[in-house]
Amino acid sequence: MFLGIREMLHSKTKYLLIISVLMLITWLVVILSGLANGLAEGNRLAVDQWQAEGVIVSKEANRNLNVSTIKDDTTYQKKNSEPINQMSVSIQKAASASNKRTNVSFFGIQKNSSLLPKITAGRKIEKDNEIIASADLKEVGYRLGDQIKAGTYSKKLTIVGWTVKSTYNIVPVIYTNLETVRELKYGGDAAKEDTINAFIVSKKEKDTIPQSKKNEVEYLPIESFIQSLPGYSAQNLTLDTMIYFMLLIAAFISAIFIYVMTLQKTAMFGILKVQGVPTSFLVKSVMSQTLILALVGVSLGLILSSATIIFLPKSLPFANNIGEIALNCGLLIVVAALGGLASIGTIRKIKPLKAIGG
Amino acid sequence: MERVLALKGVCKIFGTGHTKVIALEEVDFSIQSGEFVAIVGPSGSGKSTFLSIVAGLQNPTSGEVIIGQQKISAMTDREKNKMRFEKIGFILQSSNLIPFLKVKDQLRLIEKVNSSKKDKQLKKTLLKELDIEKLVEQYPQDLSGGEKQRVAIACSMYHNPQIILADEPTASLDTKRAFEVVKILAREAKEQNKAIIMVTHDDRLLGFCDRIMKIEDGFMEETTKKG
Ligand SMILES: Nc1ncnc2c1ncn2[C@@H]1O[C@H](COP(=O)(O)OP(=O)(O)OP(=O)(O)O)[C@@H](O)[C@H]1O
Ligand SMILES: [Mg+2]
Repeated sequence: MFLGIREMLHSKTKYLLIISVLMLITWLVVILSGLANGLAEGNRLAVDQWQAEGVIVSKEANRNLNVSTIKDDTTYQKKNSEPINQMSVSIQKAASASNKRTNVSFFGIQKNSSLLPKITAGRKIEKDNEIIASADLKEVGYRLGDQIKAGTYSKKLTIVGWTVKSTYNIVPVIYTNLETVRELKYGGDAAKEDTINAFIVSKKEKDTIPQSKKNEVEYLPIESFIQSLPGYSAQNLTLDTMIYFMLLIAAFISAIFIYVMTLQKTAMFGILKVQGVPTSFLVKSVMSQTLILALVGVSLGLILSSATIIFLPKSLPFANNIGEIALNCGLLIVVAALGGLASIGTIRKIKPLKAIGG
Repeated sequence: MERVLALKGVCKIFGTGHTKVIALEEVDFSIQSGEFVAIVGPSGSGKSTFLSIVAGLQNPTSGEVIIGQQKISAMTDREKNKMRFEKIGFILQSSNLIPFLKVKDQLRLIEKVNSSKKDKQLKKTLLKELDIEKLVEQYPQDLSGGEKQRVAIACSMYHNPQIILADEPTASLDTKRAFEVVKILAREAKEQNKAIIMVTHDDRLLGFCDRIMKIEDGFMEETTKKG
């Protein structure tokens, strides 16, 4: 400790450089993981709000809610499951002259459905073409009572209520009844009467899927349904890979830096060894240096990140997960410290003999 | 007075065949506490080799080195390290000071390595005797050559070794400073009862020493003292 700290205080610039590199890496890791979380949440928030155990989709849909079609007939028990219709579409204000469109996802649900998130304002849906929208839409200018147009649908929809923020596939969710979404999707097609996209299962039982439907539909546990959301796994994998690479880079940078510093100090270590200073003392001094560098770098990175997060634009999908930040920062400190370990061999090998010899 | 170090029939041979160099040949040597011995000899005669073998930094090809009652050849590397830290102080040609430590921290480093070496009284005495009390807040780069060597002497003595090895401690100093440093070494040998072995090229310094050993082509013999 003693030797390490004195040295860092004496050559501040060198050590500040490495600290600032570690700081920037921490910053990047925290922001990336925030974005990864934000994107993941944007994809699945509505699904999480269902508090469901699983989903029943048609087999040919390849786990995709949007293309799944199920004929809702009496063979389905519907004790612990309820039907849902889903459609992605863009909306605009009916009255507004501007053509500003917003992408949304419509969920058609039963009256008094448990799938509806908490309503924060307005009322429930009473008839066709009434909608309850996610709070996000307020931020893009929609107001209670607004009339909107959805896609090519000829009828106007009315916002009668707000839910808490609810998103699916990173777009806001609009809740309405099953029939309205069916009409949005298929027009007035009589053949599609009773067609729904899926059943959301709140508690799986033996007869959740009736025997007669076993080869038409399949049950997906909610986590595998989420993993199959379009783009969900790919996005997560990409961002997680970037984070892992940053960790790897942090390890390399600290390893290289400590190694170069050790080489610069070879003569000094030799002289100390001549005087009988044990190698373990020198190793401890270098390791404590590495640990301090990592701790200070990561802490500064956290401060920088907190400052940045305040200024992030609202439109950016960003969500902090304290647990994950703590884990990543812990990992950063560990890998940076491991980088320091790479120099132990070099310190051990330094020959005290070199120091004598005038 | 007790014998603190003895070499018996020590040989050191580097290389084999036509690259063979005999650096030390059948060297017998001993020194007692309180004695100040100079080692002289031409370049390449084996002086540094002699010091490094005494310190256990390299093994003799044959012969025996005994420090106190212990044979160095019987020690493990770890024990040799401990022995060096406990019993031997070093003063090197270009001072062995750590560039980023203030003078007071150079001394504190020894306490940090082994807290049992902490000795306020000894520290105070050394700072006073070597006249470096006023320099404690300075870094080595801000010291003159003579001041550096005086600090190095203080460091070499702070862990209270029995033997001090000095390899050309005056090489970087002018005559006046060199005399000062050697005078201090002679005084410390007597006052602190240390055995000091100093390698030097400067004949004018030999007057302060109790004995002078001359090495030539690996052979060591005692020479008569010149005034
Ligand atoms: N590691 C080694 N390998 C081979 N030869 C060596 C080695 N170390 C020393 N020698 C040789 O041993 C001889 C004695 O070297 P040493 O360093 O002891 O001389 P010295 O008396 O200290 O000389 P100087 O006054 O120049 O410092 C020299 O011929 C040197 O070349
Ligand atoms: Mg030499």
